[in-house]
Amino acid sequence: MKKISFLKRTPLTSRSVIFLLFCAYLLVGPVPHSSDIVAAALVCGLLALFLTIVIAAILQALYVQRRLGVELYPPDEPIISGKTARSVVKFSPLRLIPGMILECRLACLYEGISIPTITMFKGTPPDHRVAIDISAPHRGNWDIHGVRCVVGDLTGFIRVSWTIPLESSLIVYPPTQPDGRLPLVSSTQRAGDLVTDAVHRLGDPFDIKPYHPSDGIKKIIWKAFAKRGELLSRHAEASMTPEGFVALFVLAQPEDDNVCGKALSYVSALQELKLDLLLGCEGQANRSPGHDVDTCQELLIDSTWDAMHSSSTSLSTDLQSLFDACTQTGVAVTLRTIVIFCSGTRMAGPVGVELMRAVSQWLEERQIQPVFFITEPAIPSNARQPYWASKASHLIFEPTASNNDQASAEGYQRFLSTCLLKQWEVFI
Amino acid sequence: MISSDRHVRPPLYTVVLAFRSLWVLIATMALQSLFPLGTSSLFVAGAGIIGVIAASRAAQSRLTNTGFIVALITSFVAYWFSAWCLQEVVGLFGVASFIIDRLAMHTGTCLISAAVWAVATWAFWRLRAALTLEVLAFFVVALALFSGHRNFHLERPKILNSIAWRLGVDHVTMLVIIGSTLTVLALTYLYCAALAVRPQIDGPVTRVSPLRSRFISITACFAILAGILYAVQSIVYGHYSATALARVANGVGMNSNPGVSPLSFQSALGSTNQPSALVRLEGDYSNNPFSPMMYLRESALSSFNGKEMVFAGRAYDTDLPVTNTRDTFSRQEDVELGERTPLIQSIYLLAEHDHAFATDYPVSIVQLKNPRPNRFKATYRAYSVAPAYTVSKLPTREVGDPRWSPDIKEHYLTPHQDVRYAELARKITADAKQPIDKINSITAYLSKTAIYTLTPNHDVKPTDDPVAAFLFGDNRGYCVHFAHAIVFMARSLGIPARIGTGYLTDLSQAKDGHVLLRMSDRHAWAEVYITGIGWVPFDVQPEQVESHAETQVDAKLLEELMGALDPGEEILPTESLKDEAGMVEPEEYWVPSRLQLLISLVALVALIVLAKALLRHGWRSAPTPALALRWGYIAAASRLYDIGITRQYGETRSEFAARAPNNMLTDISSLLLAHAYNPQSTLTKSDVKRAMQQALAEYNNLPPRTRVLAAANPSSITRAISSLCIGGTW
Repeated sequence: MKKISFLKRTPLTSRSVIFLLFCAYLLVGPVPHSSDIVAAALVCGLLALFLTIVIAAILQALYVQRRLGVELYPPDEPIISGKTARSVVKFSPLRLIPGMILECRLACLYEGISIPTITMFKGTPPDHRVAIDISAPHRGNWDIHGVRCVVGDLTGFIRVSWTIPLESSLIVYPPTQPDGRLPLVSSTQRAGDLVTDAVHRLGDPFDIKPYHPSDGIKKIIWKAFAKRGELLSRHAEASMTPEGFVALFVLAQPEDDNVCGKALSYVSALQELKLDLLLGCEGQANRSPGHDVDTCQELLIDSTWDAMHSSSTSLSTDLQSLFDACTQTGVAVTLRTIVIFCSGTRMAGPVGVELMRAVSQWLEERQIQPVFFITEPAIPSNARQPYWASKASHLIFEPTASNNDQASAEGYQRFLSTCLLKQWEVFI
Repeated sequence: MISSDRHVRPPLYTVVLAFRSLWVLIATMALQSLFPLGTSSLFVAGAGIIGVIAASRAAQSRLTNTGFIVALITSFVAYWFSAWCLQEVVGLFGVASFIIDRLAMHTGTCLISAAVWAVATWAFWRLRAALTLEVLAFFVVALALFSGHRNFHLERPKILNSIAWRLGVDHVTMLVIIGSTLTVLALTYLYCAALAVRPQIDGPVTRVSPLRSRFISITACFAILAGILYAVQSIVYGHYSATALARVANGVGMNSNPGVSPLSFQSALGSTNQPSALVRLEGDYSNNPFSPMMYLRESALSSFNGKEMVFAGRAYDTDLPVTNTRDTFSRQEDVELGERTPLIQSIYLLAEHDHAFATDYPVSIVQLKNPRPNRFKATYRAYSVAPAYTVSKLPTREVGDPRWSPDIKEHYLTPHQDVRYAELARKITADAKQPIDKINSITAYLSKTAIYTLTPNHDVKPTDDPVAAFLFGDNRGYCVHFAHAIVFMARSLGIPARIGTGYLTDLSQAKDGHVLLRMSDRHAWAEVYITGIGWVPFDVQPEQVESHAETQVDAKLLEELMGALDPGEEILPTESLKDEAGMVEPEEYWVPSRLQLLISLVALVALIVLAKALLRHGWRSAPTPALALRWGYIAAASRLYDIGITRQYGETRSEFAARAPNNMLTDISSLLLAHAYNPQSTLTKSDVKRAMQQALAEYNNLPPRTRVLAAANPSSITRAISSLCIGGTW
């Protein structure tokens, strides 16, 4: 994505230029040479009304420029990517000449966010407030640097535009994702140390069950029997708390909000278990790794725009900074395992190959075993159209999101076979 | 607070569809009128509307531009293939295929209509520049359709001519109205289109529509724009109507001011078939010396201003009936002139004329009862002493009138300073002895050498002699050039001559004595005064014609006009001539005069003022305190209504009172509610008066501008009327 560049425009629109050229043609052509009375009446009427409208619009624009003030009230609730959030824009009161139009739009530093243009035909509303539904395509800090105002006429001959400076920011959070019963992995115990389903584990939470004749007599909890008259037996379970801490790395581009959501759910689960954790991510740059849900969330949001420009080199740097942070904690002696969250779609694509090469090289150098937590698609679509059919379809119909998300089955299998070859664990 | 719109379909989608469909209907009808399509307008318009709806639906789908083009091409291929298959199948059974051909043609026309409108509609929804291009296309098509009138061919297009004819307006007005209408239509279309949201182009939009009335400002803006348009179009009309007459009338205008010539030496390309007058010959004119042609003189130019012939004024050319078309004229017959016959002509003017015209020379002109005031501009009857001489016997006659004073004689003999005219005249008339022979030699010379054209396009400066460019140049010109050349040469030979202007019509195209004069019949000719006969026309019949106006009379129109005449129009008695209004029969359609419109407007304004006064101050004269309270509340609420503050749906009176500026409704509202909840309570007029005084005092604290605009705003009256008619509370 690139930054929006607001070019200074001349007040006359292309429509008015075309109309003026047309009028000029009539004035030097059919009107004097062929005595075209209809053309003469048309061109004179058009020019007269055009001039009137232009003068009125310029006066109106000067008035609005002097009077208009704008305040933005971001939504009280957190803005979740992909969902609309209602903000309120407050204007200073003003009225417009009939036939004039005032358009205001929050000018964001980045493209992609859906901010409605507020169109006023007669002036500001009675309470001077307008609610707008904002929708961001992905997480990030969406900086608002001003309000783009345009005063013009409804016939579209003239548009006077300027920007009112407005410093504000819309923080967009990734949507919450269910953890999908991901196993807990210790980064410092043994590779692939895995405690089955720590959060949604089966059985009662206290290892206590009603007595069964097959249970040994030593397992009976006599104290409970003495109090309640019911035979209960204790079943010892393995410790659910791995030693050390968990190191996580999130490979997420701006559009990979589901990856971030998954990672945050996992972090949340770890935090509930009071495990130490450190989270790094793509585009982390000089930021500190996250160590709880809030800092992780902040890191993932802040790093969005840097992740957009990440490369193999920057990825190694990001991994290295996580590694350095882990070694500096003092909790772990040696980092053996790292949990990597990434998107299946991305890994199956051509970028995935490049990523895998960079990641594997870095990991092998430090003898660290990765555990991949792959998000969608769990099962890539094999029922894809042939290439030409897909192209033809896109030529006739605009592609939908689902069409774009189709991962290559071959790429996906290539990624899995690489993991198998290197004996890396993959959870889907 | 205004919330953003969230619709599956864009706002005003249905309105856009409705307007575009209406537009299709109008455009198809207009196209059908100007350029017959060969298929029923209903089917073509229906197909266009289907195209609009289908394209609008498609534009809201995921279909790409390429997909849309593919769909269009596919439909055309399917049409072609179906037609071909049908043709082949029908051919197998030996059935005549012309039905299939016709069917295919009609279907094809409908398909093209649907495709054209579908493309336009698709572009409207999907392309930002579409609106501009659409309006430009509209302009280009409209100008092309009306381009027939160019170069003052005002009889084209025929449908326009017919409409102008039926409405009784002149063509220039009609064309200016069309130009203005095109402007207004285009701007209105752009204005309305801007209100529609095109999701693919405009993105998400939140619209804000404040709930305040803007009747006055909208009316004022509309009035300003309309005034500007009217002023500009008046200038355009003035410019073109001034030149149109000369251009459409073979270069022969109607101006008869002394020292001014109504003739134009410019190209007269606009010479048209535009009907000018209907002449009914009341009696036989078999001894017409110019048969089948007939000259109807309107004016004569006998004064030479050094460059061209101009109108001399009433001191000379006393044979002319210099009277306007609505006056009577009478004079004694010149008994010295012989070989003439009485001729009565009833003349019904279809276009405005400055002066009455008739066959040379009229002795009396009286007004006739106008059988169709909405059709005929004026009607009169001329009693002429028409020529009955034999042209072949003229050469023996002398020229000039012995009764003329030396001054008059000199006036008619004033020659051109350019000696080339005299030299050429002497050269041409070297063999002629008699003055009339000399004139005949000149006309014969011009008939042989001159080329008749309506577009001589001489490059002549305003100070130059325009006739020299013709006579000593390329010899290309029309009646104005010919007449001047004859007069200049005749005068150089000492023959009194002048130019007659009016109509030259072909009686062979007359029907039952009715002649339809057209603008193309307007003519200028040379006249020579022959002793004992008077002014006799000498005209040129060029052998070489480069371009000429249409000559065929519209027989259908002539019959229609003949049908409009009553069998015997009575000449109006003198006393009723004084009161022309008495002659006017009830019109078929009532068209209000300006005075009536003004009176209506004043009455309307007075009514509004009265209603407003009643609404605002009626509470003072209410019969009971309860009514006074109610009317008082309405009086206060109506003031707020006029400044755009109105009680919302579901809003209580207390809430409304709290929202009102300066709490002006607090007292009156409380009093009203108290009385409503307890009707038995004591209520006096002084209570109401006190509450109203508070309300009005607070109202007067509002800015004066707001109060003035509110006073002028009639919205509250409409609200009051609607309350009375359909209920509702203030």
